[in-house]
Amino acid sequence: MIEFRNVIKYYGNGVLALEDVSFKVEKGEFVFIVGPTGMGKTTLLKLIYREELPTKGKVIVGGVDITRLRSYQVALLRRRLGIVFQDFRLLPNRTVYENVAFAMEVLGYSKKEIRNRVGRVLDIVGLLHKSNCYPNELSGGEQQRTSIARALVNNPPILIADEPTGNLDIATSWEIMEFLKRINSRGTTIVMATHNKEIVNAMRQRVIGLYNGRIVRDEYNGSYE
Amino acid sequence: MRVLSIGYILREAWRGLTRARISSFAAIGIIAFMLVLLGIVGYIFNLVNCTFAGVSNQLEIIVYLNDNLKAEERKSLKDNITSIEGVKEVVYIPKNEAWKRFKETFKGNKLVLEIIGENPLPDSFEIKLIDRNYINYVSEALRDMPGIKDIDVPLDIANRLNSLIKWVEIGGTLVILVFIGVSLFIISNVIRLSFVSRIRELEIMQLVGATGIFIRGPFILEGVLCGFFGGIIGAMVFNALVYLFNRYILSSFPLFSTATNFNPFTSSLGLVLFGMMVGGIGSAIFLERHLKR
Repeated sequence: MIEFRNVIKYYGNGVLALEDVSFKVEKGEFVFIVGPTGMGKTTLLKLIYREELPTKGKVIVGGVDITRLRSYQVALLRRRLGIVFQDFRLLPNRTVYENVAFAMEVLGYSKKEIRNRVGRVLDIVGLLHKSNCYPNELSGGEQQRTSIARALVNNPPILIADEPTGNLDIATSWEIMEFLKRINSRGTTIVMATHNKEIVNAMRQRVIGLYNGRIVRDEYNGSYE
Repeated sequence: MRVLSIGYILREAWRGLTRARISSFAAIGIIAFMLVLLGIVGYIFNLVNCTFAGVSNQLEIIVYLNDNLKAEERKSLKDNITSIEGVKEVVYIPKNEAWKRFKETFKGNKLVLEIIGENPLPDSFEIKLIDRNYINYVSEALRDMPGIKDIDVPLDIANRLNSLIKWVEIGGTLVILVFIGVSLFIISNVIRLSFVSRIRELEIMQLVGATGIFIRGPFILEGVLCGFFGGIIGAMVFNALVYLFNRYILSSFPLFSTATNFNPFTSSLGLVLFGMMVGGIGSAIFLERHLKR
């Protein structure tokens, strides 16, 4: 589903973010990318959704080398990815419903289809009763559930999550992880960057450890350390 | 899909305009203000230009006739002159009439009239031209006509007016061009600034894989709408100012009261279209800066 082949990433200022990174993620896997802050986790995710290009090496998603895509092809790639961020990135002047619907509107779906799908996905994340609330009327956990709903509404086969629990308390973080587990069990491939030890240790999934831009370990059924 | 996307673009543009009301109003207000200024500059340019043109088109060529010209000779001469290209009107001034005018002009100056004594003036034609550019052509054509004693061509004044008008045109055009540039710069920046709060929107659009028209459409249309509303308000204010100016100020300066070719409809249309164009350009600049490739 996702493959990195000898990927090197230097930023413009000469900072080395990733050094000779290679790994493969199969369909339906749940993979944690772990490591302290500034070790390259976010860069790795950005390479998957083509926010950044590698300096060297190949990134293959769904069998396609995405380093060679044209801009309209990048848009097509992103329609197959759901992306969730630590800071939720919701539009403050739109309701929960509108935030989720926005992801479908900009792809040109009909109103009827939008209504059906948004309703369904809000039901899955348990926010149907808060459809008309604005983000500032929601708790952190509810905001993150909204952003997950937005990521899922177009049925992407891959979900990318960059520290999705970073801004949440322990209880809410678990709630979010329960969702992600459920989504994963329905076949969605999940790549999640985190430095939350408890979660990684308890979930017992594949763990890729990054340190100074290098993969230092890649364990199935792994733990944080 | 096509109908859907048009609906979506209209909806989103309208939503953008009405949700961030303060920045939209500010943008529309500044656009209106710039367009009023632009209109005023254009109007003044037009007024000055038309005034000069009006004055110079009043220039006349005077033809003095031989003393012993018979009535039918005079008539055929008049017909010949009238048929010259560029001649608008030929008026016969008999010597008595000319003398009467002369005496009228020097009414206060008895000495002049005493020295001159009897009427020394010949019969003449006053030739009005279609416009000042024919002055050389017509005076050349008159030169060889029989029955003419002398020709008085205000060539010197015509030439001076011509070069003055040329400079006014060049200067005015430059001022207007600079002003168009300045308003383009200011308006497009105002639009851009009113969009800054929406960079996140743009980001999310790109992250969920929206393409071309779905991202650009609403923003461009919103900029165009801002320009449209700014243009409507600007044109209304501008026309009101022109009305007041004509009514209370221009009427006390007869020099300027020559008909200008100012047309409220076309100039309003021009302002609105210019506002829309610049609004669209502002949006395009914003998108160019913030859309990642």
